[in-house]
Amino acid sequence: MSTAEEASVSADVTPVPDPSLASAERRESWRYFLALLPALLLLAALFVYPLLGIVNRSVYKAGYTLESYRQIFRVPVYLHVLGGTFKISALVTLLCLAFGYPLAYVLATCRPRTARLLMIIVVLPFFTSIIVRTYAWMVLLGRNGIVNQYLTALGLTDRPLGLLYNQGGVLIGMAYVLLPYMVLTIYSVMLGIDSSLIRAAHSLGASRLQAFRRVFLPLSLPGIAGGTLLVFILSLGFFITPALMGGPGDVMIAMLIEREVEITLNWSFASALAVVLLALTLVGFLGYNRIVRLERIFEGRP
Amino acid sequence: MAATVAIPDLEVRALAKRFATHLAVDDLSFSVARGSFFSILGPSGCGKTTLLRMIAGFERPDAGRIELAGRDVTSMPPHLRDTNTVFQDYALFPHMSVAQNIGYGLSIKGVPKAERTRRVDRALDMVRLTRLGGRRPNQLSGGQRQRVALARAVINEPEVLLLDEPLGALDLKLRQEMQLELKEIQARTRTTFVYVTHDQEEAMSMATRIAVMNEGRVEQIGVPSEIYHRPTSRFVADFIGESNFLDGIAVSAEGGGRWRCRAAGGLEFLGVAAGPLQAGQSITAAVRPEKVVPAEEAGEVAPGKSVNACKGVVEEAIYVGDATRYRVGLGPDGALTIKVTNRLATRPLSAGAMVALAWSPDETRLFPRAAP
Repeated sequence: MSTAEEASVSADVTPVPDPSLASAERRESWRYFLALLPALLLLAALFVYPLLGIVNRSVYKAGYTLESYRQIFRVPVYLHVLGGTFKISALVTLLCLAFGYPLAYVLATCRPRTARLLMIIVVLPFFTSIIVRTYAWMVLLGRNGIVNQYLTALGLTDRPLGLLYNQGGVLIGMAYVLLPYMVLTIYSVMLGIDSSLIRAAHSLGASRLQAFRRVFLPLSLPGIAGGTLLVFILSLGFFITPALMGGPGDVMIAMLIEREVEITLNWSFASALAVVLLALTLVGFLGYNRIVRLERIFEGRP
Repeated sequence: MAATVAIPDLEVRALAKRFATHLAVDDLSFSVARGSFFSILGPSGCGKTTLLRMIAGFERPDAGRIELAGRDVTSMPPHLRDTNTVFQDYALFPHMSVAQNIGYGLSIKGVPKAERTRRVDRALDMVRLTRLGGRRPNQLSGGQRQRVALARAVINEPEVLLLDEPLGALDLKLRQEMQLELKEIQARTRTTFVYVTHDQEEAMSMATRIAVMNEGRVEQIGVPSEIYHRPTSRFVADFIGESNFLDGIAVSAEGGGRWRCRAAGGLEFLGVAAGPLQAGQSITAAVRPEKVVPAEEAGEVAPGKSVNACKGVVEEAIYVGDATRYRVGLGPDGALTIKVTNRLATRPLSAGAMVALAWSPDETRLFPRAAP
C-alpha cells in the first residue's frame, strides 16, 4: 500500500526528468538487488534447481519419454487419487475456515490479556512434532480411545464409533494441524481493521450484526482469502496425517508419490505425479486469483 | 438566544465515568439548545472525548443521565440513538466508494435506492465533492475525506451531530477553510453540533456556546466573548488566550464586585472578583497582555476612570509582526507580559528602559487562591 502511494505521489510531484536523480535511483535499486541476492541464490539452489530436476526426471527414463504422463492419464486410479486429494483439501479448508474465523474474531476483539493467552494456545501445537500430535489424535479417536470410552460410558452409543482410518479421521487430523495457519492469517488481517470503523457503523445506525456483515466481514475478506489459499495448498501436499489416520480409501497424492519413490523406486513416475500436482495447484491458484484478486492481499489492501 | 434555550436538545445531568483509578468525567451537567453550535473545549486528557463517547453511546456512564430531545438515552446502544459521530481519523469505510460511505446510514435505515441516490448527490453537492462519489476514500485528500465524513453523518439528519476533533489531522490553512465550511453547513442544516476540541481558536471562531473542561469537570460555560473576557477560574484565564498572573491578597471591597488588592511586593491595584472573596484572602489576579499599555497611551485604557498603574523595566522585547511583546519586570511584585500593537508611529521600547504601565480594573479578574 505504502509503495503504491509513494509511487503515485512521486508521479504527481516530479514530472521533470533529472539525469543525476535517475542514476541515483539506479544505484539505489542496485543496492536493493544486493540485499535480495542471498535469498535469490538460496531459492535458485534449493528450489528452482531441484524443481527443474524433477521436471527433467519426469520425462526421462532411459531416454526422453512422456510414458509417465501417459500412465497418469490412462490409469484411472491416479486421477481418482488426484481428485480425492483436491476434495479432501477443500473440505479441510472449509473446516479450518468454519472453526478458524470465529476464533480469530475472538482473538482480535477480546481484551489484550485474554488475547495473549488464547494466542499461546493457538500457537502451542507448533512446538511439538506433527507426528506426535497425529499419534495423540489416534489415541483420542481410536476404537478404545478416550472419545469412544466417554461416548459409550455416557450411553450415547453402544458400540465404539469408527473415528479413525477413514475420511473423517483424516479431516479431523488435518484440520487440527492446519487450523493455526488459518487463524493466524485471518487474525493478522482482523487486527488491521480500525475499531473506529465499527464504531462509525454503529453511530450511523448499524446494529452489531449489520456492522459485522457490512463492515467487518468485507474488511476481513483478505484474511479469509489468504488463509484458505494457504491451508488449501498445504493440504494438497499433506502426507503424514492422512497416512496415519486415513483408511485405504483415503490415499492422497503425496502418499502415492512417496510410494513410488520408496517402494517401487519409479522416480520418473513420482516426478511426473509431482509435476501434475504442481501444475494443477498453479491452475487453481490462478483461478482463485481471478476471483479474489490476490495482489490486494499481498499489498495488504482491503 | 433565550427563545432557543427553551428547547434543550441535549441534556447531560451529573454524569460521571471512572476508568480504573482516575475519574475521567466527574459530576458533569450542561444542556445544549436545539440548532446551536456547542463546543467542548479542554486540554487533552480532560475527559472531553470520554464525554462525547458517552453521549454517542460507546461508553456507559457510571452515574448520571443523558437526555436527547427530552428522552432518556443513558443506557441506549449507539445505533438506536439519534446521534451521529464524526471521528478525528474520519473512519471512512475503505471498501466502499465515497457515495456508498455517505449512503451507508440511509441504506441501514432501508431508504429506497432512488431516494438514497438523490440524497447522496445532494450531500455531495453540499460538501463540494460533486463528481467524486465513485472514488475510494484512499483516493481523496485529507480535507476531502473530512468532508465525506461530515456528509456521511449530516445526511442522516441526526438530532445531535457529535464531532470529535474533526479537524485535528488537517494542516492550518485547510483547518481554517474547513472551520468556515463547517459553520456554514451547521447554519444551513440547523443541526445541533457538539464539537469537541482542544484548539481554543477553533472553539472561539465556530461555537455559539463553549464549555471549558478540565480534569473531568466543566470549569465554565458561556458564549466565546464571555469566556475570554470574564473567565470564572484561573484555569480558564490561563487556558483560553494568554494571561498575566499576579499573586497577592484581597485588601478591601470597593463595591460593584471590585476589590482593592495588594501584590507580593506591595503594588496595589483594583480588580473584579470572579467569585465571592473575603478581606485578607489570598488571590491571583489575571490580566491579558493586550490590555496592559505603556503609560503614554494610558488615556485609552479607561478615560476618566481610575486605572491600575505601575512602573517596571523592559526585560525583553519580542517582535511578532503585528505586535511586539514586552516582558516588564516589576521587582518583587513579579513581571507582566504586555502586547503592543505595532503602528508606524509606535516608538519601540528597548530592553532596559523604564516604562510606566496602566490597565483597567475591569480587565483584571480576581480568583481565590489557596493560601501559600
